[in-house]
Amino acid sequence: MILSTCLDLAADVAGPQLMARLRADLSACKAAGADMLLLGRQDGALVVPGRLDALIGAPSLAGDAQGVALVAVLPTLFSLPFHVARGLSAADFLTGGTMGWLPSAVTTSLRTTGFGAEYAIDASDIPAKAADMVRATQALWDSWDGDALVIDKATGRYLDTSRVRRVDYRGTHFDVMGPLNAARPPQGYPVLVADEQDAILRAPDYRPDLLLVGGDDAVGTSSAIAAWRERGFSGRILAKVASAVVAGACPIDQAGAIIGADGFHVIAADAPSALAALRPSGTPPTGATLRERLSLAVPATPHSANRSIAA
Amino acid sequence: MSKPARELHIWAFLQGIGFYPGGWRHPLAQPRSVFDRAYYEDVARLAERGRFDAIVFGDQLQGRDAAGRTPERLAIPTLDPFTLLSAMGAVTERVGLVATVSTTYNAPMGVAERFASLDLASSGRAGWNIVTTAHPNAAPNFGERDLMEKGLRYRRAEEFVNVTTQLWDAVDDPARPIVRHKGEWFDVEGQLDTPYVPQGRPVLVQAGQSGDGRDFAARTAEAIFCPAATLEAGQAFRDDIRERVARAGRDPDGVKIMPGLAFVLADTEEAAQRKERELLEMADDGLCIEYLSESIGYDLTRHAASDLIPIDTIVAECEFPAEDIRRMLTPGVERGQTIADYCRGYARQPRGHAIFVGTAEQLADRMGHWIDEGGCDGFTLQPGFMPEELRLFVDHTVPLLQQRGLLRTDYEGTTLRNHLGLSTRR
Repeated sequence: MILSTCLDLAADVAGPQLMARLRADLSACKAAGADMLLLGRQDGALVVPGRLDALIGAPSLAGDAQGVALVAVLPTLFSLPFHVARGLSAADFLTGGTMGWLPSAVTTSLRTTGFGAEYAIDASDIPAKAADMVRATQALWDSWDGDALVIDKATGRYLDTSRVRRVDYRGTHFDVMGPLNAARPPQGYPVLVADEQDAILRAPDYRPDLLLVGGDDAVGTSSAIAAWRERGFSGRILAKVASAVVAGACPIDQAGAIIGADGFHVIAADAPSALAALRPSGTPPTGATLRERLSLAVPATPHSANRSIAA
Repeated sequence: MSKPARELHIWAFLQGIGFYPGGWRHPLAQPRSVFDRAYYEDVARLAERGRFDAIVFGDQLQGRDAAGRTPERLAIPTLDPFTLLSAMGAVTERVGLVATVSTTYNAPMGVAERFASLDLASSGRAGWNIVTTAHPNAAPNFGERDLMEKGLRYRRAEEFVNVTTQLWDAVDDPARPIVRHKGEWFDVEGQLDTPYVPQGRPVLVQAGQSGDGRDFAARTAEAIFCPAATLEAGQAFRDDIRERVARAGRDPDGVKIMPGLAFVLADTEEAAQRKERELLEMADDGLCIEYLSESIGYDLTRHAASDLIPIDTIVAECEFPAEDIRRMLTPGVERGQTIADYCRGYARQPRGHAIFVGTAEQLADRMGHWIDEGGCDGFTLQPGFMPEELRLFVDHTVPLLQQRGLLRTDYEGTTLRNHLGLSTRR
């Protein structure tokens, strides 16, 4: 059973205390049994980018998090594939292959105008642009095969050039030539997470590895999960559960009654106690990488098939 | 403690495996470790133990291939510097963190957010090395066919920095105003989500050599990374910049000049020279040919190493401006050099940066001499290979600099601005 919650800068402390508090919050969630922390915040039931850039937050917190996977929630409409591909590749290496990302298509009007005219976008075009940004990023990860690095001092061979290539990705919104100046992440791609309420899911054929579903009540969440399965979604599903803290009682509203979930994403003011209350009802997943913990396959590069077998 | 009379600043320029292209093959080099967090944590602690002002990473926005072929023998540093600095900041408390970020392939809002976050996460240690990106292969990674012309790139950079500065300043303002800016390049109305930027603004660093670059630096930079192969070159550059800074109406003492200094250290001069020879020889012909290939954007491995330089073919097909490449290769062609000969000379030459080979004491002497003679305000130190040479510097040269009153024995302040003696508000 996978347990997850959001982690962002606290709203009730200021200035110099912010980072210490963030690390303390992380420790509390870790001690309470979290398997995964989304570096972002809750806007009601929806996960949105946080107040700390998650591409900075993830490596900053990697040492504290050890054993707990971090998921970078990114404002996808304002991210450039080349930068994101590199940042997440490095973060995946530095966290021993336990990174995830949640490319969010959610924006605020001030963020949109803050990025300016160049980034202006029609609401109807948002899903397509967000999904294309994800595909372009994955195409850049595919510019290196997982076994490209040789690093043999004796022969002086650092890499195998037949395993690195330009990809010339041309999408609806992004063109990237590659190759990336970054090796393929240990997980192939960091785990792709999505909130079912996010506009990015309205893009045709958008297939995340892990979905956050439901949140209203146990019955509604169970049927939402069933509907995703009927539509052929085969990835992992976490049920969103809101906290209803009752002294001495289980603080999670009917979590046990939710059917078909692989775990829970906690939306609660006091996340650590909600996580601690849920933890006894299921064991944490095992595995070195986040993909292993979620029983997800490592994606192969589409280019491997064209490769000669001869070393 | 009292301030040193002739204080110098030191930056650790940490590019993957170090200065020498073949250095990754040295018995003490750790080329596999550069993919592990523990390695960066150790190096960061080492830099802090050496009382460095800052750790600096350069950056590229293109693959390292020439005409689609990626070099096999060059150790390409493949981890994103911004990510590395964030991880290094997590295990240190004082050492500054300077990241190289382009104004050509970013938006001011995004860059302002990232540096505000780095400054917050590191409690006020962020620095931004502002670059405009000069490699033609960067453009197609950002949906552009061609690189923007240099003069335009600098015009954009100037307005870009203006917008990011407004965004950071607004965080400091209790009223949290919305920034409204409409200029030649940017039309924005925005506000950072970051609640706190400890330094107010990250330290602004620049590394441009051209007239455009120097003028831009004179108007915006608080520290400058530059090559200076000789003391005279250092003096000339520093005098020129200080004059430009004064002309721009700023205080020349508010801009620190930090030329590059690569180094190889040993107990005796002879041992250091022997070590340097070994490091140079580790760059074999195959590596040298790939090294030049990457530098000119033309795949020389298509030809036999014993061929004469095929200058016309190269100039017709290379990815860089043809006239620059022709100028660069012509001396080799006139000398009748083979590809291998020319490449060996090129890859084993200092790339404009000074290289020191000798003992810890000689290095401390040389650094003090440059400071006394007005050659610079400090040094951007480039270890010959990593992490061994950095460790030698910290263990042997740093104590000498401290004894001579040139380097802090402990950090006096907590922020990068404090270390560099820069104002908190410009």
